[in-house]
Amino acid sequence: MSEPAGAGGPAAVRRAAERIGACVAAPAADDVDRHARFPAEAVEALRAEGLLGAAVPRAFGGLGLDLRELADVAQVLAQGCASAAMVWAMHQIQVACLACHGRGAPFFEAYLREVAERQRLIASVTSEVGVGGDIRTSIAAVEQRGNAGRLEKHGATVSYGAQADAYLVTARRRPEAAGSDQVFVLLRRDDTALEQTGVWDTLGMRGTCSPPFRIAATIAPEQILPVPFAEICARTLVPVSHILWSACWLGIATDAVRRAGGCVRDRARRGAGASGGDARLADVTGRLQQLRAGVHAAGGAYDALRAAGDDGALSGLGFAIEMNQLKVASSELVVQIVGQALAICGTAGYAAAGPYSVARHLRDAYSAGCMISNERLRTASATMLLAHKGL
Amino acid sequence: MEEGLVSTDEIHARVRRVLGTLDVLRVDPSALGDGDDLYAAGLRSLGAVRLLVALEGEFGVEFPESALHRGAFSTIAGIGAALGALAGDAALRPVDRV
Repeated sequence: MSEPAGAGGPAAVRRAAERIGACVAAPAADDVDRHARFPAEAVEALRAEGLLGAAVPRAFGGLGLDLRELADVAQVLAQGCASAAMVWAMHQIQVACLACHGRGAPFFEAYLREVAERQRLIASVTSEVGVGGDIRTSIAAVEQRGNAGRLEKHGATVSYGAQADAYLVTARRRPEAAGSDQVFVLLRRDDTALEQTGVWDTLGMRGTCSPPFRIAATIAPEQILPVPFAEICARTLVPVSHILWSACWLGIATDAVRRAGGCVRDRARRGAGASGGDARLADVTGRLQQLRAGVHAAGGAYDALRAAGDDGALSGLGFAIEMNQLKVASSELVVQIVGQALAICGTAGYAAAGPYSVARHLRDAYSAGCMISNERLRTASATMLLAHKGL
Repeated sequence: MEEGLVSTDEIHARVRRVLGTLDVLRVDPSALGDGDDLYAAGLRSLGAVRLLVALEGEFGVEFPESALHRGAFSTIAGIGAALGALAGDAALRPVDRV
């Protein structure tokens, strides 16, 4: 391989993502899905192009993509394989947390350089067995033992936990701290004891390989991000997650609509369908536009606030509601869109494989409503709307 | 204390009473000092919104959203100051409930 794509700017990055999505991720997608295995070939191809450093600022040797550009890469990859795209997106979310909240801290600046240079893959351990899906509550706590700290946690769903080079882990600040008084800690794989305690055998998104893990590590104070997790969560983790997840779902929906279009054209050529086309394809294309517009607008809004350094707005109620409802809307739209594509493709869509199959797409799409449950987000938005009046 | 003015202690007591009606802390609010960090006592952003709405009802005021920024709403004393800044003492009476 010649020069990595990162050297050529955003347009070259996009071309690399298109090539990897279509030529590496897509051909492996059915096998990844069938065996619930890690999309190793796609991740290796992304590494080779420097794309694991996409969200690392240029000052630290990364590609320095903004959120709209990251979202564009995610949706392009997801057209080929949603699991591979989601692995890449989840990693970028962790990198964004380090890039936004680790600046000025030598340990985190060095690790950002390492992500860019060595193409490290970071997983997140924000879930925990026993907290009922609420990432803003931890049972695990950082315990002080002499000069060192100790952290043990039972993560409920640790995506690509077995393949990651490092973990960003939430925990209570100290054993006597409130469940919501959390810090975000970076653990290197080499220093972390890892025990898989369950299996990942799910309806969809099977290649994200997200079983529960028990993790344990001895930590130094420098491994703790200098900003409380509550702030990291509001300003970076939640908005970046909801936008990049939505971008992955946009990619799933885009490929499903492409397949529906192919199916309709195929019928028209054979004289089997309506000669004027299929109105359902027009409808589903409109829905797809709606989803795409939502993702683009949210990415643009985030980038503008970040560029303006407007931390007040980023952690404000209005933006939190906007991001929550983007996620809820996108997760519902992707299911509707793939469902419409299925109706258009008929039996060929329902088939597990073939050019017009949208079976994997539909199974992958249903994960969207559960990645932070929509019910939890609606309830939170409803409470925030009691205090937020500006629309 | 001048006639007709509501004392700071009284405002803090009412804030504490409102806190006692909401399940947003992991400790009994009567055990909290005026300067104790409510977030360290388990308050979260959504709990802060519920507290704000309940205080609006109790004091008959309307907070601007900026009141929720962590600094201002993180102690009982801070809430008292925000209430004070928001309205003259005359407004700091319980809302008449019909």
